[in-house]
Formats: sequence, structure tokens, C-alpha cells
Amino acid sequence: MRLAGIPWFAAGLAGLFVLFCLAAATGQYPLSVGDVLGALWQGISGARGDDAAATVVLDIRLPRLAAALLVGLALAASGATYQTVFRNPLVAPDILGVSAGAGLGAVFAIFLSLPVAMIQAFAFVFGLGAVAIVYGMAKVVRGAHEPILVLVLAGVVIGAVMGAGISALTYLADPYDQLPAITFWLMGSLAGVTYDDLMAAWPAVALGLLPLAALRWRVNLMALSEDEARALGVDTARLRVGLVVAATLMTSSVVAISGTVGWVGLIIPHMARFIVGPEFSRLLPATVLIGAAYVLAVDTLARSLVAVEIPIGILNAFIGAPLFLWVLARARRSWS
Amino acid sequence: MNKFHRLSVFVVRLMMGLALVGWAGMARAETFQDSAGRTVAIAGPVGKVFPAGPPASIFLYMLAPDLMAGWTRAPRGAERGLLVPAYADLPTIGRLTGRGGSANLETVLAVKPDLILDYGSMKRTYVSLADRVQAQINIPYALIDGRFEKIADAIGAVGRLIGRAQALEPKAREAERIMAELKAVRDALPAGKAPRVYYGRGADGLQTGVGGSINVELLKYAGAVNVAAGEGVGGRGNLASVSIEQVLAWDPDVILTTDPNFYDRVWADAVWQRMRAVRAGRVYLSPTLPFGWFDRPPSANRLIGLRWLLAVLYPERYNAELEAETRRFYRLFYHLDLSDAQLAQVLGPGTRPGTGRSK
Amino acid sequence: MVVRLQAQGLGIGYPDTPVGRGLDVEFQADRITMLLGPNGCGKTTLFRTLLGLLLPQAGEVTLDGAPLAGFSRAEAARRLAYVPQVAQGYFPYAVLDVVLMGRAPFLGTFERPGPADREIAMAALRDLGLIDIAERPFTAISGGQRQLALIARGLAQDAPILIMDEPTANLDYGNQHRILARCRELARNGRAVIVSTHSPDHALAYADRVVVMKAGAVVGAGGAEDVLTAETLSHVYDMPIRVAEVGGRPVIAPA
Repeated sequence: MRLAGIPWFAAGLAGLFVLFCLAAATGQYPLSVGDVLGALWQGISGARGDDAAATVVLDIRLPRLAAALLVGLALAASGATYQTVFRNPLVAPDILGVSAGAGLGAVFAIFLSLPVAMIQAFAFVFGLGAVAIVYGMAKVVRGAHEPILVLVLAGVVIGAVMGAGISALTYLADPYDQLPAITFWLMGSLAGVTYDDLMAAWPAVALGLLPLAALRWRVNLMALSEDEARALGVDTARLRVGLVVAATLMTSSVVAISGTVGWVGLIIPHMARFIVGPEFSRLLPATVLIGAAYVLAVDTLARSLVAVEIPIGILNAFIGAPLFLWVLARARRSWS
Repeated sequence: MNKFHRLSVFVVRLMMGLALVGWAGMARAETFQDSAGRTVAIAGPVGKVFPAGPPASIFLYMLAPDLMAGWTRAPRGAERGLLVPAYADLPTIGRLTGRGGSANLETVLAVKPDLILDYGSMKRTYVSLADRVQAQINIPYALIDGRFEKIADAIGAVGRLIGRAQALEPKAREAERIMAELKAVRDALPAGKAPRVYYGRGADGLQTGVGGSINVELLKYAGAVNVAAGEGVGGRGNLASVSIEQVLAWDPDVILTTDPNFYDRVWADAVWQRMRAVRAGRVYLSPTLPFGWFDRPPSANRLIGLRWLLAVLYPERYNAELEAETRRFYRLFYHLDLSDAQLAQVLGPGTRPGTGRSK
Repeated sequence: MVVRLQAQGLGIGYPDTPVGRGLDVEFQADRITMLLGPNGCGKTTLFRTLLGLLLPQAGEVTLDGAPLAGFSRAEAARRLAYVPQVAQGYFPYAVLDVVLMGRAPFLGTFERPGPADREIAMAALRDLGLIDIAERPFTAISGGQRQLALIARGLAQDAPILIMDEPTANLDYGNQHRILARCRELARNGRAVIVSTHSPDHALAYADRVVVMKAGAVVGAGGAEDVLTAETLSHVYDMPIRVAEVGGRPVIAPA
């Protein structure tokens, strides 16, 4: 299936905007639509009053909605990139151990009873560190083996080691104090997101997304076999490193603020491919739109269904798994 | 001291052995009924007790530290400074109860306790665990009801089990005195003006005990209302994560926490500052040394916690001399004469009205 | 006769596992050269070395008289087009998108194909009779169409040398001959076309020149009928083979 031109993108953007407005009007704090609009106007006009509506809409909901968009687009875009670069539709952004590494970093920081900013910093650094180790390992082992296979296997191995580290720390953690915090972090949540978190995360996401956007046509060549791509004049090794670094940067910077949010990076690219096809210059914008909308919708459910937060990881698995099966059934020919 | 203790245990055992040889058939095991209604047969004096979980280890430390086989979790850093040094160094033996049950039965056997003690819930899980372990390794395993209002009874029960009913009498009476005093305070509270409290856990303060969670059980005894209870939250008591918007909607009168990171954050964050509790300076950091006062672990350590809670919730009514009470509690139950520095460490900034940034 | 691609004393393979050595080959413009040899004789390794995907272990490859090693990847790709065997594992790209990828060597790193590139790709599709399936997913067309699409991509690459790895494998009889006929036509436009095959009959029918390899060495090179004798074929494939004549044309059969 293939849609001509760009109108679908504009339509998608409009849909996302509507969803955003609905999400902004939803929440536990009772506000009328008028209150929300008034607060938004205050935010736009810069004449901020000191009413609760302004705080709820501008200080709580807006950063959270923006974070949901950021997390969704970053995970989905990096998922699409990984799937194309590794020529494997079942690859997710955490394939290289990013999530496991970030999880270990966050758990370690919680174990040390550090403040939120440090938990995020640890998650980010450990996430990138895990990928660096995976890459180093793949470099050492490579030779006679298929380099991508080595990379993915190294990711699995390091992911398992990081997972064991998380288990060890949860085992050592204070069961009354730290263990619940660790569990909640690992289930993923945007409950505490602030503007500071956003400010820390968005430049890294932008830094990762820009090269993807600039290379959006050339990325297609990575879907060919190594020999074919190189025979077409592509410096595959360099391009692959660049793309993986960009995607990893996006993943680890959002995982640092949201905790581990599974499924998005796996299923959203499939949905996008189902709608606009695999050609990356169409796939990337579609993936970004759908990913942002998806996490926005799921997080809105997570924070508004009941008074307590439903961990986004749990909600995601319940929504994501059937969705994935549906896409799988509908788009059997997406890969062969 | 430790050596001497071991020697004395050895001598006692030796004499016991001789007695058994001498009067075989005459030495009869004494039987007790534990809080779960199980029959526990204890032969001879109890020289060593294996605590089945953290609440039991704290309870045991409070009542008979010399009998402790070890800690379920090694005391760390600042906690060690508020324990009697000889006991702070007891080995870590893992726990039998709970999901992460880390004690292996061989360890229990190697420790050779005369009694395994669990203190806390009487749920079927724990009863069956006790039955299984007792049958498997033939060491008496007693369950003691750990409900807060039963602390004095529990002290009596443990006293009978370890043959120290008389020695523990003052402790049981002190527990009764505290409970009675607290009850008097509670009864004097004006009706319909219960403070609404939010208990924030974690570095971002966005995890809380909902409903009748054990983590916020003390609020009930202090006549306060947990905001995270009631419609839409679910009655099942557990920990859950909440959004800051929800906390803002609840707008509690008082915020309690055990996390110093969150305590610091609350005063700097624009959203938290909108809340009544923060504007009124009614955010309090619960003391945690050597054992938590408010939340973790749910053992008799919470006796002093309730006294503290009344002090922060009703400063104008219940202005008991918290410092004096703390000294008294630590002397009797934690075997420690608090120095001024230690007292300042326990009741640090933010733990009481008028300290830290709390009002 | 213009020699486009040449190698002398070429050693192919990997440092610890040499595949062949002392290979002398040359490929000329306007000619279709077919490469024959049993499985594992080093055809694919030779192709990869000629394409510059694998470094020679000895000797060197010269492209239009200059050492191949001196060309950048994109420069080499503008002269050497590679048409692989149809493989699995493609995402469902539209046929046109696959063919457009042939324009990669002419585009900057951040550039996307423009209208001119699109026109070239469409011309290649038209040329191979694929214009009607230009928008179909690559994964949804037949094996023969896929092979043609890959050839179209090679044409879009607009290179004077076309290296094709067993383009007739997995194709039915009719498609095999249609493809080879196309290959011969391509060689009539000044291109050097190099094709590997497992069928000596194909070589006899379509090749201007053949190169026969066995165990990493060239055992014969020259005109098809001169090289593909019963003696050489029997030696190369380790079985008695005879060359008969049917309707004035040589035909290969097991003896």
C-alpha cells in the first residue's frame, strides 16, 4: 500500500493535535474545558495568573503531554531505524541493551537513594554504556561472523548481564523502601515528568532525529544485503554506526525520563509500514506521528482511568500485544 | 561478651544434656499456643532465636537481643550507629518469609536456633510456611500476631515462649502506657476535623500507600485520613504510583515522607508549592533510625512512630516532650542511652514542626 | 576490443582461508562473458573481489586501466553495477523504490532521488517490461519479475560494467532464457556484462566469452565453443560429459 504525496502527513498532524487537546482536557484534577482553554491562553499570552488551573494545565499536564509525545516519537523512530538497519522486523530499540542498561543505572541510583535528576542521569549513562560495551564486544568477536548477528547477540548477552545486575540490586535493596521504587521505575511511568526533565531530554532526541531525517532516503539502502549496499556505493559500516548511535541516543534519553516503556519501538514501525510502506522517507514521519499519538493516548489512559497511576509498561503490554498480533495478521507480506 | 555468651550457652546446654541423661523421660517439652492457634513444643530453655523476617528481627532486638541468631538484613551505615555495637555485628542470616526468601533451611539448621519466631501477619501463607519448616527441620516455629494494637500482648507471648515473661513485663507495661496515652489523645480530638494526609514515597514522592495499606496503617491510629483511600483508589492496601495532578487534586493538609530527596524537592518545585501542605510548611520527614518510625518495617518500632505522628499532626494539642519520650523509648526498647548528638541524628531537620523547613 | 575490467595474478579469499590464487581474467566492453565452475570453486569470491567488496590477497584489479583500490565506493559503483541473486529478507518496497536505489552512487549522502533519477528508473522499468508493476511491493511479485527488477536497478545504476550472480537460478525455463537474452542485448550497448551460471548450455547459447574455474583457478578462458569441450567439462565437473550437436548447435549431456 502506498499513499501519494504528503496529505496523509498533514491529516495525521491534525489528528495528533486533536488528541493533544483532548488529553490536555483530561485528568484527575477537576477542570472544565473553559478552565483548560483559559489556562492555555495564559500560557500563550504569557500573562500567567496564579490559579490552580494554570498550574495543572501548564505545569503538570503540558510537560507530561510533551514528554509522552517525545517518548513516543523517539522510541518509534529508533525502532523503525533499528528494524531497517538490522533488516529484521522483530528488532526493538532495546535490542542493544539500552533499556536493560538504563534500567540498571536507574536501579543503582535508587539503591543509592539518589534524587530524581541523578536517577535519570544514571539511566542515561548506563544505557549508552551498555550499547558501547555491546559495540566493543561485537568488534572484538567479529571476523568470520555476520557482523549484524554478532551485534544482536552481543546485545542479548549484555542485556542479560544487565538484567542480572538489576536482579542482584533488587535483591540487595531495602524491601520496604527501595524495592517498590525500583519496581515502579522498571514498569515505566511519566507521572513525575517536569519541564526540567523535558529540557534535558529533548535536545538529545533532536540530536538523534536530525540525522535520521537527513538520511531518510539513504537509510533504505541499509535494508539491502551488505554486499548489495556496498556495491551501490554505500559506506555501510559508517552509515550503520551513525544510525545506530542516533537511534540509541534517542532511546536512552527518553528511557531516562520514562523508565522502560516496551512495545512502542516494536509495533509502531509495523503499523506505520502497514499504512505507508517501508520506504523510509515516508516511514519515518508516519512512525513519528503514530508513535507520538500512541504514547500520548496510552499515558492519558494511564493517568485518568483510576486515581492511582496504571504503570504505562503494563498498559502497553495489554494494548500492544493484541495490536501487534493484529498487525501481524493483516500485514503478512510486510516481510518475507 | 559474645564469647562469654557462647560459653554460657554451652554450659547451659551441657547441663541440659546431663539433665536429660540423668532424668530421661522426665524432661518434658513445654507446649505453647501461638497467635495462629498452632501448638509449639519447646524443650528446655531458649538460647537462640531465629527471626523469620525483618519485623521479627526488630521485635526480637527490642525484647531479647542476646537471643538473636542474626539479622535478616545487615544493618547499614547510619543504622549501625544507633544499635548496640555487639548486636550490630551479628551475622546476616537471610529471611524465611516473603517473596525473596533468602534463608536456606540448611543455614537455619547450621545456626541451631531453639526457636524460629515470626512476627506479623497471620495469613495462611505464613501459617503454612511455619508448619512446613517446623515439620521439615523439627525446630519449633512460633507465629506472633503483629497487629499494632496487640503489641503489649505480643511482648507477653514472646516472653512466655523464651521463658522471660517476668523480665519483659516492664516493656509490655510501657507499651500499654504508650497505647493508653495515645488513645486518650485520640479521643480528645475534635470530631470531623481529621487532617487529610498524603504519604509520599520514592525520590519523586509519587508512590504512596493506598487504602488500608500497612505502610500508612499508623494514620488510622492517629485519627488522620489517608487521601489515597476512598473511591477510585481501590480498597486493597498496597503501594501504587500516583500522578502529581492527583496529589494536587487531593490537596492534603499534611505531607509525610521518609525520603530526604523528596523532602528537599518539595520546597523547590512549583507544583508541590501550590499545595496547602507545602504552603503551610506542613511537610514532615519521618525519622528512620535505626528502624523506621512510620512506614517500614511494620514492627513494634512504630510505637514511637505513632507518638511522633501525633506530634506533627496536632502540634498545638499534643505537644508532648517528644525528645524525652524518644530517649525513654530508645533506652527501654533499643538498649541505648541517646547522646545529644544521637538524638539530633534521629530527630533531624524536618522531622518535627519548627525544624528544617517544616512549620 | 576495449578491456574494462581486468585482474592479473589475483589472489582471492581471506587471510586465513585463501580461496584462489594466480587468477588472470579480463572482461571486455560489448561482450557478455559467462563464468562457469562447480559449487565452491570461488566464483562468488571472485565477483566480490572484482566489485571491490573484498580486498585481493595478491595482485590487483584494474578498472578502465586504473587500480580499483584507488576508486572510492561511490566512484566504483558508478562504473560497476552488481545484480545479486534474488534473496529473501526484503521489506515490501515498491518495485520502483527498489530500482531507484540504483541511483545511490549519484546522490550525495543527504540527497534524495529527484525527478531526473525517477525518470531514469522508470526508463529502466519500461526497458524490462516492468512498468505495470512499478508500484507493486517487491515481495508480492514473481521470482522472475524480482530478478528483472534487480537487473533494472543495475541499469538505473547506469554503469558500463554489469556483474550478475546467477541471475537464472530459481527461474523457470522460459524466464531463464528471457533474462539471458536481455543480458546479451545489454552487452550490445557498449557494456561489459559478466554473468555466472551453472549451465554450460546457457554459456554456449548466449556467451561471447567464457571463463571456467575449478578449485580457485581458471582452467579455461576464451570463446564458448573453444573452451567448453567434453574434456574440459568432464574435468571441471568430475563426471563424464559429452558435447553433442542438435540442429547445428552444440548441446551438453552426461555421457
